[in-house]
Amino acid sequence: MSSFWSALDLLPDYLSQHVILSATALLFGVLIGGPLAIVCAQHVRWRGPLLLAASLIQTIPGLALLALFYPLLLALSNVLKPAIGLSLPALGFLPAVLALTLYAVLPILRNGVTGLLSVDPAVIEAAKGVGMTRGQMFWQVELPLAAPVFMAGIRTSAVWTIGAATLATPVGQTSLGNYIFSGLQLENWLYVLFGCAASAGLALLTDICLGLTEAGLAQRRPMQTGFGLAIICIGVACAAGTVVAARHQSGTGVADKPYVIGAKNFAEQFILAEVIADRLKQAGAKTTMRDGLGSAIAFRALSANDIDVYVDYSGTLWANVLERTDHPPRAEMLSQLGAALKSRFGVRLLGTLGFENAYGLMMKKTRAKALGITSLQDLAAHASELALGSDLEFLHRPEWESLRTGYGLNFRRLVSYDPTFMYRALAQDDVDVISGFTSDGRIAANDLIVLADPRGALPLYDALMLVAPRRAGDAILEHALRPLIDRIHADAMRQANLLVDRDEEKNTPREAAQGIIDLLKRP
Amino acid sequence: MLVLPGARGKKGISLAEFQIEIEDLGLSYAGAALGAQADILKGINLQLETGSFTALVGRSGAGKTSLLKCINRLHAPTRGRILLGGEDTSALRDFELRRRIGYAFQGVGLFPHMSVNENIGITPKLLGWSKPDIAARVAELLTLVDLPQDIGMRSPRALSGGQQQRVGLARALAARPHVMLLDEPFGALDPQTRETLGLAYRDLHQRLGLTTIMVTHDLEEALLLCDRIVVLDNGHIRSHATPAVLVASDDPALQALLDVPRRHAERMQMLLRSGAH
Repeated sequence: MSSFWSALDLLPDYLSQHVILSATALLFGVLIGGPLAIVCAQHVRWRGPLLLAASLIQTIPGLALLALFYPLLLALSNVLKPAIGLSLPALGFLPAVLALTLYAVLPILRNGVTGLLSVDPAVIEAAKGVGMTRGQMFWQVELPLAAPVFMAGIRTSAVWTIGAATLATPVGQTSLGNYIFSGLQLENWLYVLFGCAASAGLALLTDICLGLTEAGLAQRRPMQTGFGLAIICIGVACAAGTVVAARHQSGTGVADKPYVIGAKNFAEQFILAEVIADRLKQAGAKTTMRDGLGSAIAFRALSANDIDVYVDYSGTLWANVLERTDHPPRAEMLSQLGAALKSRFGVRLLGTLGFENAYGLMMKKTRAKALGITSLQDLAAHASELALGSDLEFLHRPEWESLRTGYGLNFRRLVSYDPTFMYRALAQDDVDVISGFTSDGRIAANDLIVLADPRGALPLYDALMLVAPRRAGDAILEHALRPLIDRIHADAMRQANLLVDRDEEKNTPREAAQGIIDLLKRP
Repeated sequence: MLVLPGARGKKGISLAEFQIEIEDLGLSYAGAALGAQADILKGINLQLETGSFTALVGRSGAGKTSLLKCINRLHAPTRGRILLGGEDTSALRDFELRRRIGYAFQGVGLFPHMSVNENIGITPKLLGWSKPDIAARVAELLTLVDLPQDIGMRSPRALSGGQQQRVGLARALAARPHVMLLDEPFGALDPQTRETLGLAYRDLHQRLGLTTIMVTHDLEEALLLCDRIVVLDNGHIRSHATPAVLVASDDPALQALLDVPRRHAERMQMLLRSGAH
């Protein structure tokens, strides 16, 4: 039940941001879809191509459309910044609202065209006959007659937009989707359910209000039309008030701007983000969280100053950002990495946390013993009969390429999972080997063995604190986070991870973080 | 009654001998296929006296409706010119021209989102009349077309076909036009309503001193209601005469046109005689 109250606690923030996001996208959708519908109704030539384009956009999966706006805005920002000094935020509200706007256009456009074209030709002839100008005919006859159908389109669009807005979480925009995405990562099904219910409830309520408006327009009852719209407006105004109040509370001046802490989409990252947030709060600073970021997105968000600080892993940056394939010793690797990040991205490597979270291929101990496998060399001999389960990105990372060629691994089957489900799949024998994380508490809990890497095909994965260019010289941040350097050890991290990842008596990341925070207080 | 000869002479234009003058009017469509041109009207010359009630008759495709719609420019003529009350209409913009001409057609086309009153008052409203003036005029028109005042607040959808057509006529008359264009206005009504409404309109036409052109496919209606009949044939005017002259014509094409009403009349006469015995 504590989960329910903590979910409820987050509701004002999530719901108000969700409402503002959906309402803005819908408003833009109307402003774009409406005029396009008029163009389509009046010019047959444009009708086909415009409707086709809108339908095509609709076929792009919502998550992909949102994800695509990230590189798009980044590229646009790279062009605009030198040209007119304008830098666009590639994460958060802007990409989310743009993608949702595109989504919102189609129903409005399609219904608008239908509505305008279905006006009785006799009425049009009469409108001309009584001496209306083109504009009078549109405003006094065509638009009022098409309005109910137009409104039905806006209504459909609103319901779609509210649903799709839950997908804004991975691009860093808070929405009701935060319940769903974090719930999915943490196997907190109550959160997932809560997010779904809240989003569905909001959609339903909006649908009812716009339904009233639509019926009011159709039956020419201005009171009813106004009533439906008034409720919507009040709702949006309340949400805007909540968001503004929250912003105000977290400071207005540039110096007072909250520190934005980023986290990728797994428990360890959520926990470490909470630890960092706690340190900053102790130092009297304000913080906000951008969690559930994709691995590659997190670093780019940091270098673009969209987030201020987050934890990444040396091997990940080495392979993916610097595109290096050699494996120098730890000290050399860290110094080269720090220098390269500084010179190429302006990102500051604040220090290591003191533990490693490496990729490692893992099996159940019993199964490994039965097959006589202890290392990746042994695994290669059996790989053709075994299935590998990986997280969503592993198979596309250079580390996998290095492992595959280094040991000649050819698995019978490759399956990608959300990290949480990967361990499940291994436990249920859906797969035989997984690409797990060495700091994972489930290694011990699930009785797994990490296969040795005698050829050193995998790089080191020291956990690092990275600081965005704009905060590189920030004294508060420096002072608050320096005590974390080399103070979080593998055992403590594994234990904290297990508290969140285990199946029973799950803790929230904040609760798990408290354990680490308490440890830090010891001398 | 209330309004005798309308607002005749208000603008001085109805003093001309001919209210409508059509000179060498041509209308052609660029054919959609083959780039061919279809000539709908081929040089129409027509002068209609002020106060006349003219029927446009002819077979389907003869150009009746096209000619009518050229006058209020729902079709744009390809050549020629049209004068109303001696004034060349080409100087007027489409909507200015249409506000001066009453237009009623078979489809009626009442605005479903407006009340009957709003429908009737639309042209005065477009012309910028004051609200009280519009309200007074609408009340006057309801009486004129023999509709109860309380119908005014209703939606046009709640009216019968005959009532809708009366509202359509009232709307066409609202801004006191001198010229009325009617396109099969009684076509969709049952025969009795049709006759009642036809006779009521002729009465209005006379009382208000209108100049009316009515397209009809029904020659009997034309013969019984109108004082002039223009027969169109393949984009040309075949005849322009009074009903009496038309009936007496020895042009074989016109005689053929008159065959149907004549046979109807003879059969009807026989029927009535045998019924009397």
